[in-house]
Amino acid sequence: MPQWGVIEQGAHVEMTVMKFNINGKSVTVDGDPSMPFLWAVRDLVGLTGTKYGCGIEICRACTVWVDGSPEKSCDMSASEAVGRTITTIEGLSATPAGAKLQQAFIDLQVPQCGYCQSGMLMAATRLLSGGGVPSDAQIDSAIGNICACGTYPRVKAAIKKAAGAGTPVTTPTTKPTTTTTTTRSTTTTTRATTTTTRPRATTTTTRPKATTTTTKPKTTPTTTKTTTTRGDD
Amino acid sequence: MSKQTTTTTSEYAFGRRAFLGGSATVIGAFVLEAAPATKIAEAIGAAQVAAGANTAVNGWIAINADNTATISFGGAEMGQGIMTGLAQAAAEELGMSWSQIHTQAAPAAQGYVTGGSYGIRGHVDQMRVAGAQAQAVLVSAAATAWGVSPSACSVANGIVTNTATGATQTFAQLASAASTLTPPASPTLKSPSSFGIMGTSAPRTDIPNKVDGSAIFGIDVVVPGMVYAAIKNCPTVGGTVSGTPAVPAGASAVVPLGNAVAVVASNTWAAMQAARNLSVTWSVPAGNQSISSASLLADAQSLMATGTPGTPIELQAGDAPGAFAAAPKKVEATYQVPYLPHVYMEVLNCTVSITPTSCEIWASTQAPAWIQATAAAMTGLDPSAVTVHATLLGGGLGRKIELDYVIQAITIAKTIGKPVKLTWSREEDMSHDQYRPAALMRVRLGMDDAGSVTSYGVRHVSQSPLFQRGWTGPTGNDNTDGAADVAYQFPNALVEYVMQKSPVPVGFWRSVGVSMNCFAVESAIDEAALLAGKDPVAFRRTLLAGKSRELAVLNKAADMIGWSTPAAAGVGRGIAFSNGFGSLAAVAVEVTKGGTGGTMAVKNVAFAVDCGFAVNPNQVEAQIQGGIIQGVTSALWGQTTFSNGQASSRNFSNSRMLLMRETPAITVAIIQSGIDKIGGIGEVGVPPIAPAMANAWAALTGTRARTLPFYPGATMSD
Repeated sequence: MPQWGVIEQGAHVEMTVMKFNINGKSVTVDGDPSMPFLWAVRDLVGLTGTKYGCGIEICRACTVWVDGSPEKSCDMSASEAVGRTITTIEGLSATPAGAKLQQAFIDLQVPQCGYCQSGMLMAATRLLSGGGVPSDAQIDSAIGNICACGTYPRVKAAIKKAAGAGTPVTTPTTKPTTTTTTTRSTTTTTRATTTTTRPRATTTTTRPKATTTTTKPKTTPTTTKTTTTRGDD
Repeated sequence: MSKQTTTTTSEYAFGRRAFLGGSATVIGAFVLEAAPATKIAEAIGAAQVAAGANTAVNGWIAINADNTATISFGGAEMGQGIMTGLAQAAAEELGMSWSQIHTQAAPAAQGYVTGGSYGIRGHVDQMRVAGAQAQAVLVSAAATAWGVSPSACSVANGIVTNTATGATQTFAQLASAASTLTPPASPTLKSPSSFGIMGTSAPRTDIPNKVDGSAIFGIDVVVPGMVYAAIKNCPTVGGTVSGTPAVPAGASAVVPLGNAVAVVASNTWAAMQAARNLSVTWSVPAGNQSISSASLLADAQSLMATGTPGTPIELQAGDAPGAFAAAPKKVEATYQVPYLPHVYMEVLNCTVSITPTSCEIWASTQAPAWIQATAAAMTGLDPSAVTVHATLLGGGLGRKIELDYVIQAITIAKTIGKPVKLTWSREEDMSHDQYRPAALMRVRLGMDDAGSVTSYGVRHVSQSPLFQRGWTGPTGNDNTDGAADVAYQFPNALVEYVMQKSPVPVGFWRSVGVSMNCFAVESAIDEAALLAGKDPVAFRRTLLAGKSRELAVLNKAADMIGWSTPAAAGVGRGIAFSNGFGSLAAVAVEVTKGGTGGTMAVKNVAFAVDCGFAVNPNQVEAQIQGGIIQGVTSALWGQTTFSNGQASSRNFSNSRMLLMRETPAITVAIIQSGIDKIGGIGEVGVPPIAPAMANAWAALTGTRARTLPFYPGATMSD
């Protein structure tokens, strides 16, 4: 955990020239060597894909690779990054597993706000770098990242898809392929009014629209997809 | 290597203004923004600098030289996909394929507040009209060139075809001529049965940049010559700085901001570190230092017992107290929910550059137009000299409707005379939130011997975000949403709101009042069903008799969880219904004692929603998935407590968040009853989760949990 040391009045903050190897390129910056690499890469190097979330090694939004291993960049000083091989989200597409995962994240429309997704992808790519299809437990163990939007089900599905686990459980932009049930909307004329002081809106005749539901076995801790029969354009 | 956010490489990127010049021609400049006069907007607008009517006549659609279109977006894209959804609406009527569509942020004057799950339903018609108007002038231009009637032309994929000769012209070829024509005021819109883009799960335009690090959030903005600021807010509510501290080493300036002090340095880390270690003397109003969760609760309990309800009474029908007194069976229970921080991933931030003649602001904001008006007032510049770049938001959840952090950044920039980016630390963000109010809600349900509900009463005590912002209207307000507007039918009903007052800052949290009242009402309905010896789903069906849409949603959720068959051993099932934001929702959940130390774990969630029409079903599903997960997190662990006038939340260390390994299996069913009933979706996923969990836990254990969160004090180490 980074230490918030007290700066004494008048104390001189030491600046050091540091040479980083980031995404296969050499970058030289002049800065405080005790600064967490998170802030060095964002403010000094100018690669802002690596995100600040908590600064205390919990949320993992700041995950980068150091010599191929996912590390929380808020927990590593800038000086510690010198001489190491650093990969950030901006360099992820150069790795085969990274490119596959990025495409899977697009295909399954994984990100919502997107802020945590850099860290998610750095962690997920490392999981797939060795090949093979990870189990649910392995994915759960590898992805300890916090996502406030709740993209977890789709992240998991995307990891499986990128790993070649066959038809993903969630197929947001394609038509459902498994069993379907149909929910027909109801057609109402005038809604019943209640005995309340607030007026109830009346509704008009509606166009029934079929929806299609993909059902799932309860035991599988993954998300299934319900979508309308209208396909993607 | 610094980064210019105003010249990003992707056409999808935010903040890009290329359509105002270059090869793009604006042709859709015809739409008058009808400001959604929501209660929230009115109230905050009154309390902040007058923001004007937010009525802009401006362009939404530009045709590019490569025969693509760039569709502007006036709201806040914080992951809910409305930038895409609204572009789908415009593209549908415009007559281009989705692959020809780009999106970008509109100028602030054209923007609107994004809140109340209003983004799609409040603007979808506007964008459809914009698309139809654009198509009309494009067709008109082609028809004139060919000397034929517009009715002799057809449109597909951005190409106008002369149906008699087969001649074609692209939109790009026609755009210049079309831009000089006057569009029809009320163009004919397509029938939903012929939609090809609306109603499809069109891929979101903002996603590709979110997987490679190139998406620009507010916190990523870099402008030439800028410095970095961090904040130290007064730890105690209502306190102000007394005397300006000396500039510490490693920093270049200290700027007093009333209730906070900013520290300016050459990078974010240095600024945050100096701010954290800064010693500041604060002046705190008498009494504020003694504010605690206990004192706030005691105050609420006193108001519950003897407080005077606001007028007009929120809901009054028949004689609820009399019917309750006479009822042979009755449930009376008081439910309690906590102050809640918003806890999005991107902390508050704002970048400001001011010159004698201009002010430019980049902000992660839900209210760009308010920023423009506020900055104009603060700088003395005309609003036209204020440019607001609404960046992508790393979540907002209602907090980024506020302007406190923006006003701070403007003040800092004015004071130091340099462009500045202000970034709050996570600790400052969580401990100086504008929290979802805590609430006490007493529910009284009287039943006859047969178990029919004869009396419904809710007495709700909480702070009012609206009144804290200077709202002077009737007490009818967001706080009783979910109680005063229930779908259930009761012969006698009384819903009262008793306002609690406190300096604790409260605000609008995803689903606002419904997040509080749905927990109380749906828990109490469950308690009544059990008292009456009735199945909770059947009990609700009776209360919704004749309401076919509501019944369809309730039955769908029950069916998906397998309600008609017994739950497995060790599994408890619960159900809850919710209506709000123009949509209907029901959720059935299964819980076990599989959490740490035998605590509640949510295993399966089946959610049915009728939002009328899903512009993008995939994104409706995503919003419900996310709402469920936020709902579970909040119900299990979410809270802020107060002691010595200070909020407890600091970081994720003491604000536990659900992780992937704890995420239940989620199934979402979308029922579409018609585009005329289009409802909101962003907040709809949250409210029914907590009561469904409480109901399931009661079914499993026999223990009724009436206080949220279920497990206070949880940490990420648990």
